Amino acid sequence: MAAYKLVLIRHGESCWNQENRFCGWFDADLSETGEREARRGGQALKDAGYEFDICYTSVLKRAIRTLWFVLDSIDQMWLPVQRTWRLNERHYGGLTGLNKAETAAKHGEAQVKIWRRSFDTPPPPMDEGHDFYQAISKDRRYSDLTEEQLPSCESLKDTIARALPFWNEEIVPQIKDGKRVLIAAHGNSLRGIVKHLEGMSEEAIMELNLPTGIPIVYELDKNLKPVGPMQFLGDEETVKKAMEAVAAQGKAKK
Amino acid sequence: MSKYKLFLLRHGEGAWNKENRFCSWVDQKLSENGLKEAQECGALLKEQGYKFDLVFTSILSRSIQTAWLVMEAMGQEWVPVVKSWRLNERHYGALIGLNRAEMAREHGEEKVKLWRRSYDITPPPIDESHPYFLEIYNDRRYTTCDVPKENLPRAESLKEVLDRLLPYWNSTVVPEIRKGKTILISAHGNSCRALLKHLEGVSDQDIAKVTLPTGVPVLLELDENLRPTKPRQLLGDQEKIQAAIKKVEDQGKAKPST
Repeated sequence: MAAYKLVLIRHGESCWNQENRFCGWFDADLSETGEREARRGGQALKDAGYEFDICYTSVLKRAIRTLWFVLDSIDQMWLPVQRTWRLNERHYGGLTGLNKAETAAKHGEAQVKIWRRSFDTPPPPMDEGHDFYQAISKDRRYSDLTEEQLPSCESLKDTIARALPFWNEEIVPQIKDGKRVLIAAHGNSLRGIVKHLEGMSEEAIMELNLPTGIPIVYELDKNLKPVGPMQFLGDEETVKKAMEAVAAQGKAKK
Repeated sequence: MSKYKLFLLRHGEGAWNKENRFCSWVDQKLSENGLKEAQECGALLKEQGYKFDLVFTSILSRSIQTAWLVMEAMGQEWVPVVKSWRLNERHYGALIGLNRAEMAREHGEEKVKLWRRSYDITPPPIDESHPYFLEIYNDRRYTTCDVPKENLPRAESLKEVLDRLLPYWNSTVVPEIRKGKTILISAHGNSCRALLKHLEGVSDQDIAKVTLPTGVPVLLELDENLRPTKPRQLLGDQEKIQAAIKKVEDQGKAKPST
């Protein structure tokens, strides 16, 4: 019998996704498609009658606005929301802003492959000369971060290492207190939580791409271990597609 | 010397404002116009270069929606938002849902004037027979307040609004102001007026004459004792603001001023 239920939602398409650019900490907004995905996710939660007590999100608008669309759909705009940089997307360092072609042209296909396959090799740092250095590293929202905390780039390992303390210190106590939690965040910060919940290996988590805009439900026992695989909420077709996509990932050739 | 900046914002039109009904604790969302008002307010604040550190709202959707749209327009969605019932609109008790004509018919023009203009006369309380009673008191959000649900108001005078707002102001908002944070309070006509009365020392009689237009940010510059260093500033196109004030005042008149 599941003691707790946890819902995760990964934001949908951003304007930069459309352009296939590494986004990371750049504060790109949702595209119209992304907004539709968020509304659809909210509708799925509404249809299933979900109630929450507290919400968590990053400090990036694409996640925050996704949460807002969901809260509006389920008529729970009054819920307390906590925003944290620790749930931000992975910081792509010097690659931020580059599209796939530019990245390959700049760094070579081989290097790109290494970055994509590595759990703990970070991309090159974002230095002061970078186009987005001012906009990101000097943004007011990060003014409370220490020099050590503020990344100039992150590997997936780094992302997970700064996300988990928040999960453990802030979110877990709320779950254990019986609070029903909703987390609206990003592919890689959510990977951190999923890897931790399911005890996945580094290789396994790198293979996993969470579907976007679809509420992901975990039923947890009293030790916060999942009692079954993650479930997706939505209409039959949406759920089926998501499950198939996830299943196919492990088998995809790189 | 101005040490602190505080912004108050009364949300824009909700579906019921159009029909001139007392919405109060019924959780209406913004109308299309109300959404626009919030977006325009955000655009104005962005244009003038303001940067918020913290936002407070009530737990009624229309004030939260307003805050979100303002933050979106300003690119400041990341700013923390804190919500409390203590910033809710004044509870109009049995008058909730009634429009001008209905109110005058049921209670008489004089009584209605008294409830609207007096500082400390409470309207008749809402009870179980009221069409909106369950919609309000069965709502889960009222089980999350810092007082038990049975102790929440059933009707309020403006004075009673301030009575439940002031402890929150002192315990929760003031410490943040003193840390130097620029704060936006996105709330309602009467919760904003109650706060203004307190901050500006407006008399019980004079507060009845204070009208806040919807969707217009009110800037208060405060000294280190949190007293205003100058008169409140309503930001934006001054002609539009005067028209907006008149619009609210006209709603209060029994016959529309054509």
